[in-house]
Amino acid sequence: MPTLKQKPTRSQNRTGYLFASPWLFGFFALTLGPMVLSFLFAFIRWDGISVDTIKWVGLGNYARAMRDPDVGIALWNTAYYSFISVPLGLSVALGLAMLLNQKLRGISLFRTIFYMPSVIGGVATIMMWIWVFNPEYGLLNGALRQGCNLLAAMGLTSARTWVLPQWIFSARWAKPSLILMSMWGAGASMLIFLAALQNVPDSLYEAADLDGAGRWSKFLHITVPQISPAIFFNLIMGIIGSFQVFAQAFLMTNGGPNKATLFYVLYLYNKAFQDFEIGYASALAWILFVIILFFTLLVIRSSKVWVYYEGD
Amino acid sequence: MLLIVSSWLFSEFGLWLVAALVTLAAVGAMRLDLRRAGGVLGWVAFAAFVAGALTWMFRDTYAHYFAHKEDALRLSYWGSYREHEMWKEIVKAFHTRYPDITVKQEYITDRYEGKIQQLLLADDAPDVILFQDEPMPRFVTSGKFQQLDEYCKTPGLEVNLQRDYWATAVGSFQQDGKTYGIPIWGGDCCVIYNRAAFRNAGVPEPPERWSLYGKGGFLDTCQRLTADTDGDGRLDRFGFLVPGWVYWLPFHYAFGATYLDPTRSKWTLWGPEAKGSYTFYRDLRHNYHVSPQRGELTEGGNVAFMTGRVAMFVSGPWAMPPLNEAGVDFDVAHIPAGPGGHGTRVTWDSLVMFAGSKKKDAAWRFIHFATSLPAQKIIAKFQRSVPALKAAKDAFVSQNPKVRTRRFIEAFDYARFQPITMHWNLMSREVGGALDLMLDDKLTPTDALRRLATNEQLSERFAMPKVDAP
Amino acid sequence: MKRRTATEYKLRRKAFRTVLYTLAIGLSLTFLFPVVWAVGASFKPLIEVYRFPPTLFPWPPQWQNYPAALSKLPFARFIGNTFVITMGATLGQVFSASLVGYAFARLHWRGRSFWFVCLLATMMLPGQVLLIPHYLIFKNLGWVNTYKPLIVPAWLGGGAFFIFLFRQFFKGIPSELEDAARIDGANELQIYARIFLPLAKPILITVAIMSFIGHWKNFMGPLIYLSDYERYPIALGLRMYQQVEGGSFVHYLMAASVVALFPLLILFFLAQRYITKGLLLTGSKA
Repeated sequence: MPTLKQKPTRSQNRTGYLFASPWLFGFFALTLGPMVLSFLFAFIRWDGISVDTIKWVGLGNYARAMRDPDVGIALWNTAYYSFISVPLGLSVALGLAMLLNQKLRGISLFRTIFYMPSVIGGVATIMMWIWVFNPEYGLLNGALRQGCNLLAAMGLTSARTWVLPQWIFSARWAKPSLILMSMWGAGASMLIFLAALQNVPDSLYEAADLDGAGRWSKFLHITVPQISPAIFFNLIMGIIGSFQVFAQAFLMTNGGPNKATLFYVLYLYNKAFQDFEIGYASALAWILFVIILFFTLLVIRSSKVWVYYEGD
Repeated sequence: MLLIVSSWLFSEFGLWLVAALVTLAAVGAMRLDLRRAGGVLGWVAFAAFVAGALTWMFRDTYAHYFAHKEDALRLSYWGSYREHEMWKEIVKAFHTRYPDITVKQEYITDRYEGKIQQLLLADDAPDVILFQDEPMPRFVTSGKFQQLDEYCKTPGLEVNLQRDYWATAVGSFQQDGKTYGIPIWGGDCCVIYNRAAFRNAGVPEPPERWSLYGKGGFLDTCQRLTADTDGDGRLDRFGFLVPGWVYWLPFHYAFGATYLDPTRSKWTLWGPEAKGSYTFYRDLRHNYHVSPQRGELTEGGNVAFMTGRVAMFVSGPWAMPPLNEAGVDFDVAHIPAGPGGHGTRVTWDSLVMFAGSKKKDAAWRFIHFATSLPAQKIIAKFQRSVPALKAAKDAFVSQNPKVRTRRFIEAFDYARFQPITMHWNLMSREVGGALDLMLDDKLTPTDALRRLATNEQLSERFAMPKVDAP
Repeated sequence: MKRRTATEYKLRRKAFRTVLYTLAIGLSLTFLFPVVWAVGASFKPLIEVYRFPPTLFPWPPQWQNYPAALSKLPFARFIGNTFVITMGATLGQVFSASLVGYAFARLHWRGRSFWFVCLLATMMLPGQVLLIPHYLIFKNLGWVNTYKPLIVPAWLGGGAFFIFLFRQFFKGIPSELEDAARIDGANELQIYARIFLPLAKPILITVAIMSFIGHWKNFMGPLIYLSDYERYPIALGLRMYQQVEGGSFVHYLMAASVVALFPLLILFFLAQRYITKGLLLTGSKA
């Protein structure tokens, strides 16, 4: 059987392309065209309603993006969100998956409950979170206030004067609020980790127990390598997804306060559909593409070191 | 008979049925260890499935290019389920009048403008489109809306805009002297107040005409309404809910301030009038504290009003249906006059005709019908907006005797256009952003005004005033 | 290493399990919260939805919200439409994504790594700028106002997310099983169908669930491509209760949402039991 080092035979090529043909066909028929078109859009100025208004501007859109201060703000906001929420999200998802992997009674029920946010989504979630984040009456500050009172009662009297954050209404706390919200919707990654954990053979753990390995050692040397394909997946999807964060900012904060949650894709969306500047928005999209591609390739490169596939 | 059966057999469903049956046969063959037969049947089933799929996929493509196009008149609109009901009634009445014209209702439940933009681009737009005044300039420049001046003169289907419709309605849909939309409904903004809250506070209801300051005036009333009713140290009832910049326009005009000059090319938000307006705007929350501050409410929009937490807010007739549904005891008052004048904001919706429509005559018949008295009376019945036809005003007012809806009509006397241009969305975002900070007391009114008057994106689009150094 | 007695082991295990239970229950409460709020809101009269301070469950509950909300839209038809779209798309996604994922994972063919990066790249361009070009393609195919733009792409690999996911899982399956089958003379299709698919049961179920739920809730696609109101899925239908100015009819919206989303929860609850340990235990190395 040929290994990766040898060139694949013609019949192997044929098989490979055959299996992959549904996607390849779809890619050429439905995806490549629009991507090329949007790439071309980046070189024009257009309002998106009538072809008569198209005007060629060459690299003008890209030059404008370099000069535009809002682009810098948007990139910073997005990077902040991404670099914090991805590691945090992975940890939370893995933690939850490990919790749900136990043989507890009613585990089916718990799994459903933990996955519920991903199912519900939408208006109900947004409305609820707006209430939770309310600085005066909201759940979060209510709980924090109780906590402070408790600390004060126990002797830490300065706790009574602590100022509680204004959450999504404060420029400083808006992004952390949205990051907190995203933790809670970690259902999909949790589910994937769960499937991965289920596939780790018990025999490995039993062998480790006989050798006297502790809990942390088992985690580090058995669990992590065994589920590293899933970690790789969630990491890449996390990067790709978090760089394109849009919905919460669009529905809850609209980029505010004071552009604290003006994420890159929100800015792009405003430019495309509110200001009718399709060309500029396309240029912005391709800039983001290059950035995401860069980080993804970085992770793929590094994966040769830390991702372990049982089948290789 | 044979033709029907064979045509059905060669349709996608027939082919899929064949595929399913052959698959069963294949499975059966495998069970009986007939490998060869099973394999062959498997491939036959697969081929039938693919053939069915291809038929399914390209049948519509064929129809799109070669088959007879559909004959119905397409009408698009947005709204809640109530507006959908209203349009059903209008369409039914239209069909009674013109039985040979079928109308297809395309109810777009979300992202209306975006969808219309996309349909216009693909030249696949509905024949008659409900369209608002705010995005009008941008879409008119695309040339995809039909000019309607000639149609207005069609014998038997005349529309006399100047004589029969409210002046601001007509003007909102004209550009360079040409008409692009016939106004159908809209409304101006008045003060809506919660009668129960007034009663509980022991404050007399607003008079017929009132002003901002002075005894019995707007500010005075707000202050008397604002109270801590349960003694827990937090205010439970507020006089007024401070709105966004668009709904603040009536008060803005009351100080004699504007955003743009009449040609809508110069930015005029600067000077003592603007300062007066924005200072009052901020003071309502932070100085007089008759309006809840950021954290003091969780509910958004005009919904705090329903529970009486806020006694007054500014809105148009569209606020009324949910209030009626919730059983709130409310009424309408005029906008108070201020030191700089008296004004309110008005917004209209119209019916436009797609310039690429193949059924322009039928489209005009519908537009004419929807903006004439029988249809306008239906609109008046639903109370969501004021009908654009002046003659329908009595139907609107008499529909709900408990509320003084006549004031919405009277307010047309002092209503003014909004500062609508092609850059409405951008302007809205920038002004909104600066006001967000000002209303949270993170920016003084003067600094907010300065920030806007020196805003780079706005400067590219309007002529800015001379701003002195801070 | 400390030696422990049998009873000490038992006590430690019990303590551990108590901690786990507490954690699980505590976290559940936070996760359950919006559902509880939404269900509570669905029973409130409109005025109480916004009452301050908010109440969780109203008394008396307005049972009539449910029939009222469901009667104002052609609810059954919307659910039926949603079902057709979702089934068509989910079947296609599970089928084709697993096939293509297998190609990227276990088959060796020239250009595989290049196409894999292309696959990922398709997810990196924000979808908003692709809306117009996609629409133009489907318009020229004559597919607007049909379900085809929503179903056909799912059969053509259905999006990089699931292909990538299958690739990761197929790569994790030991090669001994495959080698044995090859020695027996099986061709690629048989290896895929008889060996890899059964082993991938957990991930197949996971993908099926995620795909089903995703398509059930998808509103952007239907919004762009459908204009016949009768063909709307429930995601678009629910928006009829939202009115931008004047406040939404939240109580009806919540009632309709609960009914629309309830099937998803039931589905998930029933299906997730099958994301259990694979056949790896019984089949693999000694």
